Amino acid sequence: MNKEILVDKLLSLNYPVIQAPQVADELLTIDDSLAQLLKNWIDKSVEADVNIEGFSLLDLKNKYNMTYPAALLTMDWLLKEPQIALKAITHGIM
Amino acid sequence: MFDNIENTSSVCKDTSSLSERTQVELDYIRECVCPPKPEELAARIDDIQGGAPPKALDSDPKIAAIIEPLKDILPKEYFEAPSDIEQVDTIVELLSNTEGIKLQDWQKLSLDQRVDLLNRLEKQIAEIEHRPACPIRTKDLGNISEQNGGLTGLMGEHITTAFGQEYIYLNSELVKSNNPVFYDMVLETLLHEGRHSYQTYNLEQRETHTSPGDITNWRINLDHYGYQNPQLCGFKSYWLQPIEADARKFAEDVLTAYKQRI
Repeated sequence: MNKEILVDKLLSLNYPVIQAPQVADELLTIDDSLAQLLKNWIDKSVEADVNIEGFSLLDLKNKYNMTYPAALLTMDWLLKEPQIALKAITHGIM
Repeated sequence: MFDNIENTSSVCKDTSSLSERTQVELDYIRECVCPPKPEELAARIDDIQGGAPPKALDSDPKIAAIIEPLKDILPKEYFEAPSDIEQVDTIVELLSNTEGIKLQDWQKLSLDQRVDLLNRLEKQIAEIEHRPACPIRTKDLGNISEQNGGLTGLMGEHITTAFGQEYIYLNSELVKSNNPVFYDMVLETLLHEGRHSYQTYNLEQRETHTSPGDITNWRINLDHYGYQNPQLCGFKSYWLQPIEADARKFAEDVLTAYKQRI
């Protein structure tokens, strides 16, 4: 995946200039099992769902008004560090 | 702000032996100590100490000794804040002695009474933390649900308006509920958002926090990386950023100690 294309796509979603490259870097290291979802989103703007640890990507996205990449990164965290990620998500946002 | 200048007889004592700064600088400060001119004192000390934002008026030990007699006259937010451990202990003491804050009492209060109580608590917590108090408001911040033993949703937020007025908004669903899990979250959110106000005060108004390294971390968080909004950056970046980790730890330290106490 090309970082520049990803950064441009994030900027088109109104990501701050300072954060688009940071988020792009994180997206480029997501788990292989989620990489295809990212590719489909970049290429075709498809927002496919996935369930991890009882959480649905699209449910999280809608509940927290997240962008698709933000929800995808959250699912990646649930996959890689489920205990910490679960604690964070079930603590809400404050 | 500087309306309490009564009872200043102890102020006018000789402090000339305390100087290490230049005599000119110390005389410049003393002019405002005896007779007391609190309005001008802060401006003069800020002028000498420099820094943006300015430091606590008592951050220089020599100046602190000179202005010691005026400590009760000036607002607390001008002086170094207690350490985090001291703040936690004092807030636990406050919570333990506040009527209406225990769950069984809280459940009997109307929404208006709850908001009044939270505003009274915030004023006292702000005084302990040496920062201005924020008005507490409730607001529809969306649905909160119990999930996996915790809560999901937007619990509250600390905002600063374009005119510099800060507010703490708590999700009205949290404050209205009699559910013990929601009640715990009300207290945690109040403390968490109050800590954000403390961070903001230290970053923008005056450095009163006694650990400069913390302030540096907060500044790097906001200036170099930007606030990691979960809507854009996901939960991991939001959860791990210094500004949030600090607010979460502070609130958890208070609540853990409070629950051990009651």
